[in-house]
Amino acid sequence: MRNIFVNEMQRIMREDERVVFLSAECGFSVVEGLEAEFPERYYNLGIAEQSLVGTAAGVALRGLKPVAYTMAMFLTMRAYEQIRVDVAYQNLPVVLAGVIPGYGYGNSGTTHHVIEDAAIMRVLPNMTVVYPGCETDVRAAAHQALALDGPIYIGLGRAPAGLEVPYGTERFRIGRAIQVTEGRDAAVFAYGAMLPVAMEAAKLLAKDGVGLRVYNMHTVKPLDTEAVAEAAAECGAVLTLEEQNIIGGLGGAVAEYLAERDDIRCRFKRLGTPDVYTAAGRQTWIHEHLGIDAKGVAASVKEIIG
Amino acid sequence: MSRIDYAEKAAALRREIVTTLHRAGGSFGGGALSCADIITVLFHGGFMRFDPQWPDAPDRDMFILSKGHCSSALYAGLVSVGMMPREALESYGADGSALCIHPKKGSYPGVEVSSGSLGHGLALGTGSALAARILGCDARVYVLVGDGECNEGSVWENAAFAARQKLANLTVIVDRNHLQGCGRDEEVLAYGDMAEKFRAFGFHTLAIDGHDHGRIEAALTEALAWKDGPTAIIAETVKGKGVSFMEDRLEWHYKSTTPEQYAQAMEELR
Repeated sequence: MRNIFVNEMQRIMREDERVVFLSAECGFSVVEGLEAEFPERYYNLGIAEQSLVGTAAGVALRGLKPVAYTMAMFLTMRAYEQIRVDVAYQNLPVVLAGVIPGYGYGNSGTTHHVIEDAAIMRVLPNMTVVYPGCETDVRAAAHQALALDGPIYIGLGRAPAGLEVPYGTERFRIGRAIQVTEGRDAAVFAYGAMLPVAMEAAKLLAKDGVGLRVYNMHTVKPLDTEAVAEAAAECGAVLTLEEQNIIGGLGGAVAEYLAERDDIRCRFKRLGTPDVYTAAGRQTWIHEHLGIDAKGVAASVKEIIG
Repeated sequence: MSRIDYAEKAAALRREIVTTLHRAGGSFGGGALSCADIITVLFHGGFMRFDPQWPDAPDRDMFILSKGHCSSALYAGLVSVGMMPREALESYGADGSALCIHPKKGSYPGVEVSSGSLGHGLALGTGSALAARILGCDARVYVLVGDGECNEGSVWENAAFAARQKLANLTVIVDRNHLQGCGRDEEVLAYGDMAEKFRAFGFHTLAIDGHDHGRIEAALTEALAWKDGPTAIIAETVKGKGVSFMEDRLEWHYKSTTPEQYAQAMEELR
């Protein structure tokens, strides 16, 4: 996804002279083409995320459109206070692009597992939080992010090896969930790398006659509450699926919404990382280990619908 | 000698600061008074080119108060150049007021950034200076940082980048008053020669008496003429400068004046 994102930005930069691409020592073998074409609008801030985010905010002060691109964990956590004060509080149109949230670097260990970003980014006022689910999403997200008046965080994930990335969700609009499979027995809201896992689970369940409706919930904030309400009403069982900690992430967001809707009665379960720093391993192994691989998801769906 | 009467303007700025803080029962007078001469020369010496008619112009000069707790000096300075109505100072720190103790971007023209968390202003200034270069305009960016603030690593992360990019339109002024929140710099981290530190990161550096208007003017003039990269001016100052009982006293980072102290301060600043 990061290659698609950077290539799309390079394309956009040809048409929009206001876009400035900033990175913090990230993008080897990905950003070189962009850098070569736009040496006046590409800057590597070095291994310095605070400097990256603050500088990006400063660039936005003069009406330019900065993209701050680096590793998701370091961007969101090392520079969190710069994101809060310089970007979110000042409500500046900075595109924060986090590379490989979740378990895309699974065998690198916990320093490289990003299970907190959805939660900590969505609690920031003014912030939009998006995780594209496929290549089409990434391209659309790049354009739509630059058209916003305020800040946005885009998590550029990595789909688990061996799973087919779903193409063809051309309806991508920030803030609007995309229903990608039919089904009325349960609905799962998944995003980023978990979208293909959810679709695989739907295939497994279909063999047993269970219809799982999959939503590409690419936008964690603002939450598409209409889609949640619709799924709850039509399916009676709602699950959230993410690599992130179930506390505070999409699971938290949907739970908050459902808890305040007295008129909605549905079964509900959050799938993701159960508030632990998990063991290191390949992304698919971690999913299995946490019970959020396709089989695990299918089992959880069966359990919840009884 | 400059033809501008900096002494009177600086005294007026200090009276405004002391009055604003006394009225609000506010803190941080020490650090506001230590940078009063710097702001006076910067704002009245033709270095910051203010345009009250078009305060959001993309090619405007920017003054970034990184040591945001000393906003009373910024606000008083903006009043003195007509960017802010004087009455606004009466709402400093009041419930719901736009004039927060720590500045909020856009609350008034000339309040360029939200500051108050230390170590943020330099990167904002660097970004702004970089954007000016990309836009091809000759805007100048001045960032005022505290010496205690330079404890923050983010200052140095960004100093390296500003120097690497040779941002000649960026000037950093360090209000070197040697007193921070809980003690003297020499007792806390003992930064020593700060000019040497900025020089090591690639800045053109100048060390001056931060209360000598002629020296401040000369340093800002030299910074403008320096085209090989950013300049750091280390301005040696005294916290609480101008009010005898506040000068070089740690507690005036926090304390507010009694009516008697306020009267004495105003007498001394005549």
